[in-house]
Amino acid sequence: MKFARSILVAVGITCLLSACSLVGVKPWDRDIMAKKSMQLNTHPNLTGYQEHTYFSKEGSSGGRTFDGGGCGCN
Amino acid sequence: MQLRKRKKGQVRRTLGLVTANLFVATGAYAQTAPAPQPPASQVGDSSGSVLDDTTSDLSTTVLDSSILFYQEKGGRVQAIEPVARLKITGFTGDSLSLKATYDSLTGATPNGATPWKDPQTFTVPATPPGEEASVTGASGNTQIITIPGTGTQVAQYTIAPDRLPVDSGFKDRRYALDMSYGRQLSTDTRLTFGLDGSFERDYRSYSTNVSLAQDFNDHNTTLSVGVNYEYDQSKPHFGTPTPLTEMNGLPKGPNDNKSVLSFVAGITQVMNRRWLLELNYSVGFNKGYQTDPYKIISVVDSVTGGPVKYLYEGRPRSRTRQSVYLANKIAIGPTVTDLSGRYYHDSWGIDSITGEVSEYVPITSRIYVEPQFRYYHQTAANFFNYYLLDGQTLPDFASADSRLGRFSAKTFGLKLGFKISSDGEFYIQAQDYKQSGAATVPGAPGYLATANLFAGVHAQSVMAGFTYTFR
Amino acid sequence: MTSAGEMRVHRFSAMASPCEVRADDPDLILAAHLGQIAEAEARRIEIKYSRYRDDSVVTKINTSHGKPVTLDDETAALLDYADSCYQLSNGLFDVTSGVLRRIWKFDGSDNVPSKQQVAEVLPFIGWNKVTWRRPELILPEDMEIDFGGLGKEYAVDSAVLKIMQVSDAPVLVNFGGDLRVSGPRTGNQRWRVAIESVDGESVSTARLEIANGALTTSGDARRFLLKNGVRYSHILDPRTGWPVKDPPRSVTVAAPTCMEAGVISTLAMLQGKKAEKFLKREGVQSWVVR
Repeated sequence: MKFARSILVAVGITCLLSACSLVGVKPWDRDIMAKKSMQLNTHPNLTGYQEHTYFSKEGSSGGRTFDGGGCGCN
Repeated sequence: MQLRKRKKGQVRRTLGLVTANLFVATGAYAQTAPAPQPPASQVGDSSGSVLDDTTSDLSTTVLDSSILFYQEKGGRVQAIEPVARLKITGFTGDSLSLKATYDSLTGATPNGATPWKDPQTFTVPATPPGEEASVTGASGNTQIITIPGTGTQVAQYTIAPDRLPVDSGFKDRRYALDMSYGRQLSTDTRLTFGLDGSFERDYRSYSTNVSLAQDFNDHNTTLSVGVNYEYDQSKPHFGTPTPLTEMNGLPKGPNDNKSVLSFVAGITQVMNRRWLLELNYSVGFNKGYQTDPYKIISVVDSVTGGPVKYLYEGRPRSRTRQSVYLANKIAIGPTVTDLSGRYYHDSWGIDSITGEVSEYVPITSRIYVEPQFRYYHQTAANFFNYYLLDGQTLPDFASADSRLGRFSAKTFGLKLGFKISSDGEFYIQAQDYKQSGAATVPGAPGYLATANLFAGVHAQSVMAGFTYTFR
Repeated sequence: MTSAGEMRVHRFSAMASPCEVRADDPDLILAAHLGQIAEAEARRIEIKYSRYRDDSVVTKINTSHGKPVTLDDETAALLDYADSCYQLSNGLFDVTSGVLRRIWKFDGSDNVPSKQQVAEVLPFIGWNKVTWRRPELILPEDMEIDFGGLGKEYAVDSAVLKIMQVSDAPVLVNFGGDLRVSGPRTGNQRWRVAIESVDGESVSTARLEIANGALTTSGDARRFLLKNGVRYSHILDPRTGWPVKDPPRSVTVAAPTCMEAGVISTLAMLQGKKAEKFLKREGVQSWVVR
């Protein structure tokens, strides 16, 4: 059962990658993607503050990247 | 006349990266006629606003410093947190990032007990002679008394009637250092390594992480995997209390620790010219001491709801957390919409959903605003209770910490940015964060049926910073 | 349009070079259209960056007399690129080295400049003397910017990208020997390219087949100076102002883009004796003629 599951995951990833190759843009169409306002994390300092506040005041954490560098706030 | 001794193929690889960057920046502009040249005395903007910048960060040093002012309503926690961050990127794309944080907190924090119609007195160990008076625990309106017949000194503080019990002597200072090194193994592959440390008087955390990112499909798809290991030491001021034992002023047990191993796998995909998507799955395993040594839970009379005794809380020593996170950046005209969501589930029974939306709106060629909204909802941990009933069998784990209870929260925020040039920006963000939860539970005895047991926060914060890119 | 076998070839002259565009598609109207797109792009870039035109961006920069010039995004991106090339080549690749033209004229004669002449022009060479704070450039008086080492390759890459925006037809764009293909020919066949090198009277031809990427060739055996039996190559080291010793007669490099191939072949020539070693270390496909 475990083996079948890992095969499924491998097939899933391959399908995802193949599907991903159908989607995307040519290099000359990346003008908008290159803008600073289109970055996933435009203000790392602010994101850091927010993640720290929510980690201290809520029961869930992380998801975005790592919840590395914990503090004694939870 | 020779090039410096470099790794094999380094010139070729770097050149590949730099050329890719060039066509990102010029690809679309090749369609337009050359821009008319303004008089040489003008600075900046010859084609559109500085906000449209697409400059690469190769061969740059970025300095970003900011400060957070945080204040919870009702005299609760107040914090100031300055942060300085430095990121140096070489022309090969390799980068080194350093971040220093200082965090100063004061104020009152709920101790976990329920309110009552009469004053309540809580007993904690007294500050040992010679130690700083400002420690997490009791200070402020506390009294030092000596237990008759023993000669032991303890501290006590009293809470007024009909008030949510809070510990008002809360003071804490924290320093944190983070370091991250990223290396381009090829134009398509990046390896990142990080080290972090966080230091408080009563808590130390060390962590290290490694991740690998691989590009496919002409850099349209990026697959990343990463692993993080964290080791935390809990050194509560008066020792570690035994969970679910009675609250008293005696010195407690030895320090304890926990370790966390987590994994994240993610995919970033350019969907079309205007839409970027990120999907992450993470799983983490916590093992060790995860209880809050300063929090208690009230054992109340099953008729009146009045406190009979107070017990130290206790949480399981193992926790498995999983989350799925989806983020989108969508450019619509001149604005950019950020839409993200997260579903979280852990072995303590907490399930949560988070949804965030923000809209980047350029106002002039140098100024933008970004209104934001976040909605959060979580279910309670399966060992969470506002109180325990006297006479009931003690459960294995119990906590009245409202952060583990069932509640929802809304954040309203507004960010404002002012670009002084294509390399420098002032930014400021204000947020209002409010948690709401049920004031009481069905079947709560006596007084508690009409009391407000929910201890969630309502906080306001202002964050301001300045970032500059040196080339 | 002339036809070569089953493929149309669109020929024109630009950037002081013979240019051609081959489109592997039976639709002749399309092939002609794609050729015109490449020609328009070549002319646009030539007009914009030619040293010889009064209305070019380069002339505007070179006549700024030390005053700041604000540049458009495309030029700014090219200067960022020139800056990166300067850094990664430790100063060998330098867009301010054009002033050496004033004292070095490679006409096969014995007019080698004196040490004094070279010393006098050296202060006006060096990208590190230029103040480049995007989008503002300050070029000190008497210095010059010359995109000669990048212009043709940039034009080839830009032309190919523009063609790819409108058509999937396989094309080969060749501006004076710097060429790039958009992909393999129909039926996954490779393009056949002939590399000619002239040495005195003999012409040797190497034949290559490519399916993807670009090819550039550096070197021209006809340009040199000969004095007292010493041959001075036309490959000048911008750091010393003197020719590089023992450069290859020609270096042909294959790379994913024309710009990369161009920079690598230029850098290889500048290695003089060590050209082959440099190319091997970099792991690029190349052909060196000595």
